[in-house]
Amino acid sequence: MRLDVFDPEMCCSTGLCGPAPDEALIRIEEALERLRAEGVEVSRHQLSRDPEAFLGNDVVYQRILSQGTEALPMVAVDGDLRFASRYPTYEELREALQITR
Amino acid sequence: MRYLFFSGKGGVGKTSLASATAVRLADSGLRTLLVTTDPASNLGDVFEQAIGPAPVSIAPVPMLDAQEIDAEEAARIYREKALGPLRGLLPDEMLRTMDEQMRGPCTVEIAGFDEFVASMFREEYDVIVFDTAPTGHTLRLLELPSAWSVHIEESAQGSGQTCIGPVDQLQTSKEQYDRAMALLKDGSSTHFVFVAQPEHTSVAETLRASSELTELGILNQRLIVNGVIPAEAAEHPFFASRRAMQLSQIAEIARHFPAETLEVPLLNGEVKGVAMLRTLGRWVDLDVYAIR
Amino acid sequence: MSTPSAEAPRRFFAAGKGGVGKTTMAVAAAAFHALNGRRTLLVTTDPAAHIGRVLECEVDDEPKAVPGVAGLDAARIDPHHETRRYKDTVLLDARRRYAADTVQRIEEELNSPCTEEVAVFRRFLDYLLTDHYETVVFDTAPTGHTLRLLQLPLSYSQQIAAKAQGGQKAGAAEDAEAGRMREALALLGDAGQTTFAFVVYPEATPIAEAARASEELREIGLETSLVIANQVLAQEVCVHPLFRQRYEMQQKYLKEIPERFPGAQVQRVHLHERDVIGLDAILRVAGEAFGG
Repeated sequence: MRLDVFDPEMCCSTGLCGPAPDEALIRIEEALERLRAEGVEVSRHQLSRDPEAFLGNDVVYQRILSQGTEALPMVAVDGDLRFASRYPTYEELREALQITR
Repeated sequence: MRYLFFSGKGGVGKTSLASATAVRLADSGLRTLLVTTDPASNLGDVFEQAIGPAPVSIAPVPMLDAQEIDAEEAARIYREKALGPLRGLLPDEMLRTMDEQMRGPCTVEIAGFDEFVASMFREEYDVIVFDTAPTGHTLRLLELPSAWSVHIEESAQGSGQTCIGPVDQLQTSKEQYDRAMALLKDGSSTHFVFVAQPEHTSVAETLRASSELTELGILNQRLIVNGVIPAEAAEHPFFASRRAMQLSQIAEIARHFPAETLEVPLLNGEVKGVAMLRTLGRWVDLDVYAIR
Repeated sequence: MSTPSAEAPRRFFAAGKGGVGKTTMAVAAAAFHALNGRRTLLVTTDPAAHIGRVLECEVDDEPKAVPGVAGLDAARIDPHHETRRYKDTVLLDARRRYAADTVQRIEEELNSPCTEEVAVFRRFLDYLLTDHYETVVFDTAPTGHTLRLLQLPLSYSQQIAAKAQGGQKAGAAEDAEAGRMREALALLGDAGQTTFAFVVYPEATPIAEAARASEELREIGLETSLVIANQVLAQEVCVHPLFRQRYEMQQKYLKEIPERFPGAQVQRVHLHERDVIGLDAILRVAGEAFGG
C-alpha cells in the first residue's frame, strides 16, 4: 500500500517560513505519520527535488500541464490519482486506502 | 592552510587592509586567495577588475586569486540546478511560480554559508584571507556552523529535510561544518584581525565584537587602527583636536588586545588599484601572522 | 527650528553601508522631526544599539522615550530577542493545537538558523506599519541586507498568492499577513510617504556601492530622494598637503553625486572636530542634513 503525496514548493514541512505554521500542512503530516505507523508506505515529492516522481506518473503530469501549480497538492494511492488541488484528511485517506480494522 | 579573517564595521578600511595584506602575502610567494562574503562587496572596485563567484586571478599579482561569494547568486544557482532540467517539460508560468516559491528567507542564508564553508577547504592555497561582512554578519557566519549542524542533525533524525532541501543535497557536509568551526577556533591556523577607526562608534563596535568572539572561544585576535592622522599633518587646530581625540580612542582600545596594535596612517587618496594596495601594504607586518 | 513641515515623511530610511555616519544621520533625522512637532520613533536594527551612545540614553527592545528630546522614542530590533519571542509565541500556540510529536517537529524547524530572519522581519513590519507614530526612522543595516529585508514583502506576498492558487484554503492568519504585506509595499513605494536617504562618504567606492544599492531599490519601485554626503572637509582647515589632497579628492567626487543619483536632493554634512555625541552635536548635523 503506497501513498505518494505531490506537494507544492515549500521551504519547510510545517510551512513555518510563511506567516505562521500552516495548519493544513501540519494536519496532513500528522495524518501521514499515523498511516506510516499503520504500515502504509508514504512518500512526499516536490518538483524541485524529485521531478521524476511527477514526470513518471502520467495522470499527475497531465494535470500539471493543464492546470499548473493549481493542480497541487495531489495524492495518489498505488499510483492512482485520488485527490487533487487539496490535501485530504486522515479519514479520507483511510477510505481511499480501504484500510479495514 | 592558514586563515586570516578581517573583521570590522563597514567604512573603516577593512576591505582595503584585507586586500593589501593579501597582496603582500602573494608578493611574498604564498599562494593566496582573497574571499569576500560581504553582499555589498566592492573587491572589484578596489582591484579595478571583474571578480566573480569563483576565484579569478588578479593580473598584476601572480600568486593572488580573489572571489566574491554572493549568497543571492549561490541561491540562484541552487534554484537553477533544480529548475533547469525542468525547462520545456513544465509550463513556463509554473517554473516562474516555483522559482518565486523557492525564495524563502532560508535559501539565501544557507546557500551563502554553504559557499563560505566550501571556500575554506580549497587545498590549492597556502593562505586564505577573508574580507568578511560587517561585524554582525561575521558573527552570524561563525555561530552558524554550530546552529546549522545542530539543525542538520535534528532534521536528519526527524523529517530528513532541512530548510533548503534534503540533508544530503547540501554542497558541504555536516562534518565539514564542524571542521570549519574547529579551524576557526584554532589559534595556530586562524587569525582574526579587527580593523577599526580611532573614533567612538568604531571602537565601541570593535570591543563588542571582540568580546563576542572571545565568548565563542576565538582568542587569536589582533587589531589594526586605520586612518590615524600623522602628527606632522595635525598643524591646524581642527586636526590637532581630532588627532588628540584619535589618540585617546587608540589608548582605550589597544588595551583590550593582547597582541601589539598596528596603526596605519590616513593616506592622501583613496585605496584603489594594485599600486595603491602595495603602498598601503608597506604598513602591513606579515611576521605577526607567522605563516610558513 | 522651522515650523512643522507638511512634507515630513511618515517613514525614513537611512541607507548605505555602515561606518560612514548612517547611524548619526538616522539619529539626526529622528531628532529633527521630533523637535518639529512630529511624534517620532527611531528604530535601530543594530543589536548593539549605537544610537544609544549617540543620544546618551538607553535603548531597549520596546520603544522608550529619549530624555531631552520631546516626542522622540527609540527602540532596537535585537535578533536574539526577537527570535526568542517568535519561537515562544509559535510554540505556545502549537502546544494548544497539536499533538506532542507535531509540536516537536515545529520546534525542530524553529531551531533552524533561518528563523531569525523571519522573526526580525516580522518585528520590522510591526514598526513599519504602526499607527502610534507619525514618523518612524530606521537606521537600516548595510545595503545588501536592507534590500533583502525590503524584498521579502514581494516574495512573501507571491508565496501566499501561490499557496492560495494551489488550492489550499488560506487561513485567517495568512489573509491578515497578506494584507500587511500589501500595506507595507504601498507605503514603501509611495515617495510622498517614505524617504530613502543614502549616506555616503565622498570617495569612489562608497559612492559606487550606494549608487548600485539605489539602483536595486529603484528596480523594485523604491526611489532615492536624498543623498547625504558626510564628513566633508571644509576648505579652510585643509592647510597641510595631506588634507589639501584629500579635500581635492572629495570635491571631485562630490560633483559626481548628482549624476550618480538622478532626481535625488544632495546635502553636505561637514566633518566635526570632535565625535558626534550628544544632542547639540546631533542638531548641528541635522541642520546641515535637513535644515534646508
